[in-house]
Amino acid sequence: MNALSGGSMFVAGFVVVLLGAIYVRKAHATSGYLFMGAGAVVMLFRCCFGPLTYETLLDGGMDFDVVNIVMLMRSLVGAAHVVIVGALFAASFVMLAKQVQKGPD
Amino acid sequence: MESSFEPGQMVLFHLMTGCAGWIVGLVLLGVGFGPVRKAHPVAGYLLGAAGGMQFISSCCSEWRGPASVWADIDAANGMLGDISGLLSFFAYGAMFGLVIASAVVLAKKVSADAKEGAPVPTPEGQPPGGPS
Repeated sequence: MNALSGGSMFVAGFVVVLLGAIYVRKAHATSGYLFMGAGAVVMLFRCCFGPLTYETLLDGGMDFDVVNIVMLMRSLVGAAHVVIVGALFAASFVMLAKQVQKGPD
Repeated sequence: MESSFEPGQMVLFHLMTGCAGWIVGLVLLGVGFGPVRKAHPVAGYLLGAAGGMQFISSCCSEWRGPASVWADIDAANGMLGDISGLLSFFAYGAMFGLVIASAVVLAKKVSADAKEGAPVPTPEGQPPGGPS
């Protein structure tokens, strides 16, 4: 379940980077880079912290208290990643919307 | 398995991480129904829906914390964790789909506007109005 979820989200991050490069960057360069950055952060988080679960860490012989601390850190980094991704998406959309309202240069 | 973490502490840190998702969901809702909807209604509604999905995803992924108070911590991390993970996965996936759809719609609108508004170059490099 964790592998399926993590793998799918990694692919979703990759699709965000790809579409940001193809569509959004062509429409508005800065928005495109912000959008690609959001996808890259998702991919990075899934790569680095995706495999960490209670099961894998306990099976690796780690003490339960240490596992709890590692999982606490994972949750904190996960929360930070959600905030960063949300901020990048929001900034990208606001810039795109302003570009639409401003009209062509 | 004995843990030095009290269930109350688990609830607090799940709530803390859940808050990040809820705030981001509200921000996306605000951006979607605010500036983006004014620029392009379809893209705005898609982004607003993505914000809603982010909110739901955070609720689903963080119910494990409160569950650890009334259920055994193994149960909270086991079956309950699997259910919350599954629901959170679908909601988070839907959120990404909606964000991508909204961005593509908005980007195409910007590109179309740019094509319509751009001056048409003439073969001689003269302005469209002809030589003055």
